[in-house]
Amino acid sequence: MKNFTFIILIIVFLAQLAFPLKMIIESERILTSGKEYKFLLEPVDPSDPFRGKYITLHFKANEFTPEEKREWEKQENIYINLTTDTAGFAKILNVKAECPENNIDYVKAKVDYYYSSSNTITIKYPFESLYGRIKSKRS
Amino acid sequence: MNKNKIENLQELIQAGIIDEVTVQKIHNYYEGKKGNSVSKMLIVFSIFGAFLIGSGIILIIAHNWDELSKTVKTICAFLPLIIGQFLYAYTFLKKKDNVAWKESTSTFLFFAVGACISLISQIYNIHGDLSSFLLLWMLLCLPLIYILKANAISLFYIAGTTYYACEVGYWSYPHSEPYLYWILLLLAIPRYSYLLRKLPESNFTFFHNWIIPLSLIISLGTISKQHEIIMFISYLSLFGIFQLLGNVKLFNNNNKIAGNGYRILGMIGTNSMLLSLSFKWFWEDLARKSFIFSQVIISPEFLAAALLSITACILLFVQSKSKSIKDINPFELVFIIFIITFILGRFNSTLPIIFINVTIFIYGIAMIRRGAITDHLGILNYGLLIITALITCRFFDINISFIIRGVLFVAVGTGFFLANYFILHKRKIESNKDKVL
Repeated sequence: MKNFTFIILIIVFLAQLAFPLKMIIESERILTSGKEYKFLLEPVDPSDPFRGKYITLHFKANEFTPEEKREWEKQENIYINLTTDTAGFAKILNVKAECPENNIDYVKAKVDYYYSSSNTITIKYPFESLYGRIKSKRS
Repeated sequence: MNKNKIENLQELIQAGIIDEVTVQKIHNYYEGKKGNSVSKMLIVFSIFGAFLIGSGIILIIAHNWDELSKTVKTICAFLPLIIGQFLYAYTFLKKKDNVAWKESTSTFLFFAVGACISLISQIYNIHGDLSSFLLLWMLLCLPLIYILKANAISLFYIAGTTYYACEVGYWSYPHSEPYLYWILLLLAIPRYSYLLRKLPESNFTFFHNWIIPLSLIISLGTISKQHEIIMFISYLSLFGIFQLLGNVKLFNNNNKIAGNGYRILGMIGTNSMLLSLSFKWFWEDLARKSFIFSQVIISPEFLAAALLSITACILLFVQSKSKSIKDINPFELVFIIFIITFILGRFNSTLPIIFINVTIFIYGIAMIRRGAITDHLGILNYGLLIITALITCRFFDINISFIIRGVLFVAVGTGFFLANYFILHKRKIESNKDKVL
């Protein structure tokens, strides 16, 4: 019984180590094999109880009128096809509800708000918080 | 053993009431208790110490955080977790019977897991909402409760799952129902059940008897979606269940009032809800509301209200079987009275207001009477407090003259003084009688 419990303990320890490691691996994979896009910022700075102070990144490219005319739901997953403008900053090419199939660069995001009158989506990006000392980040 | 007790024992020996052998047994008993209280303090301080050390390590590292490289930061994030796991494993292998070791290492590891995940999120700027972080943290720490049979982290776990329920059900937008909360709470019940059966006098059991009902009270509201008004039935039934559970020996910590979290929360909850329902806004809103029966019957609010009310009725029936009608505590019937009043309120908004106010008044008087009979100042004053609260609530919504309001307050204030004076005077007379005898 003690041996069985010890095996369970080892599995629990491995799980506790595995989840943070998985987070690191996924983050590093995007940095090494993904494509870099620059977004113009409008920062606001609140605080997270577990991760400390951060800047909320508010992007210029956060609204789009998709080709597809349908009712988009709040928090629905969307896939944003990106390109770059003449100044080298990210520009939205298109927004779709399904994951693109070919080797097209995309960002998986969520619908923050949908204006049915103009068929416009406000986008909630998965990288809207930048943690660390606010002073150094603003510079 | 203190000086007074030693003097009393000497007196009893001289009077020939007890002999030297009995005195030695009494002395050994008190010495044993002192040892137990010393080890309890050690456990408490070990838990606090582990918590503070864990927090302190994080703060020290945080001071120079921005100057460190990503690799060093990652190592610092994992270090408390690895140390915690090592200490936990050491306790499991070598110190399994040492309660101070079990509780402190479990507490340290619990916070180290949370700290590691949050630090990694911060270092790598990983987006994620608070609810998924809390869920992951609690799931990773749940087995720790059962492997070492640690109790402090059971309390932290229940607090964490309650925070998760609040985050999902109240504070995030859009709100959703945290159905996982109920499963997470159920997973902690085996440990609680063990404490109730095997360690009913333990301080950890005492804390669990408070934290579990508190968690249920806080999280029940997350079920509410469209028919919030029906949640009043759910809450009164829940408080009714708590009052009934407070009668069960398993939950009432040997009838000690402070240890009976169920009864106290049940009583305070019932009173608070009745006072809020004594205002006309609720009943006017209920009479105006339109319910579509086919939608209401499948709503989570109705299902919760039905489940809780049926459970309360079953508990009431089981407990009442062995009692006569006059022994039934009328406060335990409040949830039934409210259900009837609620149905009545759909057709008339005035009668229920009168009914609820009369119920609160009778409730207060009955508490005062019970306090006087059982010679319990706390219960007596609680009854007076209920009456005062009722009058204060009516102060705001009834158009009565200042003179009448003043007279009412003077009457209640005088009642406070007189009731307490008579009880204390009665006790003094009785203790003088005992001394004479």
